[in-house]
Amino acid sequence: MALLEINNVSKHFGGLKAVDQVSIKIEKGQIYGLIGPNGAGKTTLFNCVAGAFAPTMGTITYNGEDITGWKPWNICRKRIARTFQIVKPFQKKTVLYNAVVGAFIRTANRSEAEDRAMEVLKKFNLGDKWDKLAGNLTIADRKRLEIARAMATEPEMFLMDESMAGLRPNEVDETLDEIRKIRDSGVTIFMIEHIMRAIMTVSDRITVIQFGKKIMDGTPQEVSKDERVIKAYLGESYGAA
Amino acid sequence: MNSGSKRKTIDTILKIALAVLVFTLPVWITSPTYLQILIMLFLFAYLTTCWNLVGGFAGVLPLGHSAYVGIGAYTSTVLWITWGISPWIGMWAGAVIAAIVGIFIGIPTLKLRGAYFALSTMAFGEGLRVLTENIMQVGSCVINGPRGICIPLVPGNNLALYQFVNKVPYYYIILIMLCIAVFITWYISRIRPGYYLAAGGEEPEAAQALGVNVAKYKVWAMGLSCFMTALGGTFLAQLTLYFYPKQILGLDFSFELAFIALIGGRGTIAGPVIGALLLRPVSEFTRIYLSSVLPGLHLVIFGLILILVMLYQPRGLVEPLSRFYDWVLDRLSGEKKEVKA
Repeated sequence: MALLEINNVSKHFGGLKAVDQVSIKIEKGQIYGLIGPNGAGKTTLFNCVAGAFAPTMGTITYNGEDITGWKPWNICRKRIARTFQIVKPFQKKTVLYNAVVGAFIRTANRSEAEDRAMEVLKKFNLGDKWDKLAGNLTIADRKRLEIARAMATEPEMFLMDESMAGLRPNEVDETLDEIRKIRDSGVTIFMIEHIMRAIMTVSDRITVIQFGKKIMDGTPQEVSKDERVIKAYLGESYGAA
Repeated sequence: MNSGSKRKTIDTILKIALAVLVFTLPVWITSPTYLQILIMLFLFAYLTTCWNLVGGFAGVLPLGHSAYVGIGAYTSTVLWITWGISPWIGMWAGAVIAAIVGIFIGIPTLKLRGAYFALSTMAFGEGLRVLTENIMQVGSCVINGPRGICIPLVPGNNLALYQFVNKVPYYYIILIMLCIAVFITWYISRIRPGYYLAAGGEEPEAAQALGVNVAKYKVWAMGLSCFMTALGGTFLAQLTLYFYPKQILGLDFSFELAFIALIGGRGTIAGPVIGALLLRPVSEFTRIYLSSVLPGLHLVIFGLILILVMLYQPRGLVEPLSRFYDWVLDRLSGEKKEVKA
């Protein structure tokens, strides 16, 4: 049994089928990539899994339990964490405060939550910036904080939405290392990424979607050779070449 | 002596000195006028502290909190006049009613964002005022519509009935209420619900993704805020012994609370107190000296101060003041502020 099963999930906004009957199975311990051109419905699919939207049709099961249409806070309590494509730190608060909000899900005791949060911050190289205001961080640090804060909830499954967009190449490499470390600590990762180099090297399996529909899934090698994927990204005229 | 201990000692001495000063002020100030100004200052600091639970921590802008002041004042007064129930007991009834009303108003409106929430709370406040102005009597309870209610006097200082001839007891009652309210906000800001409330106020979607049921915390904050606000309403009624809808349920009242919080520092613990410290004297003195010439001028001055503060200190006056306080401590102790490792 797969850890996360997305079965024929659709999400319609009025007449627009943002996600159209997509099915994905993610095994425990995998790094699973989700790619597709802009507007393909990747983030919408994430939002359905994370509870921000209830899917119009289809079911989502986690560990065999049906979590379709659950509220985001209940999904988080099931140990599914997520990050946002456009990072949303609590800007007026310190870095530590941000992480403590995440850590509070496992304990109501503040000093215990602070200790756990601090541990996580150190893991993500934010330990020395704990007392800075989140709004004053660089974009790379904000992205890192977004990951650290979600990791403070101690998830088993981690949904990462473009955690590397806007980073410099060396920062991308650092983030890739961090992602592998997260996976090695026993967390299953489901990620959206536009940087092909990144997602091809790190993923065990990839699903490609376009116009809300799944066009294929497979290993990175299979995906990168597939004609439909090349067409989706580069257009019809390149498909034949 | 380890580093920072001298600084700490001076900090403690200054704070104790301030507390002693505040608690002995009525000994030095005997003029009832000035005592009245101080009492109103503390009352507004108290009400703004209550407002701040929603308007500050929960990150929305309630502009109808006079409704809950009014609910407190009317409930305790009607209970006393009609059934002879002491306002000390009646105020809890008012607080409970205000909390229930606040929660029912909060459940649908707290889902709204920004100006929509502000407008809907304003509409509720105004609606309640118009309603009250049009009710003369409910059963055996006299409301008196727009004329308001005059609380019958009892002779002498009567602690059991919450009425005093001189101002000193009122001063201590509101001072203690303010201390408790500040303590409650301080305590909430240090526990999980406080973190969740502030997180949900700043970035609701991010907070939800971190396991926070944002709406639930906001509604509870609203209930607590309204509960405490109503207690202030009873105090105001017992202090003035006469009130009418336009005064106690009016928009002016609600706006003033928001002004004080915004200028002092929204979402901070000391902000409401500092805001009241600055704005109440302005309000009182313009009322005393200019009300016959230009009634409402204090709101214009508030507006000006608010514009200046928002331009130069957008997070309120708490920030520069706490920096100044740190500087004074550094100077006095010759030590730098200690930073936690």
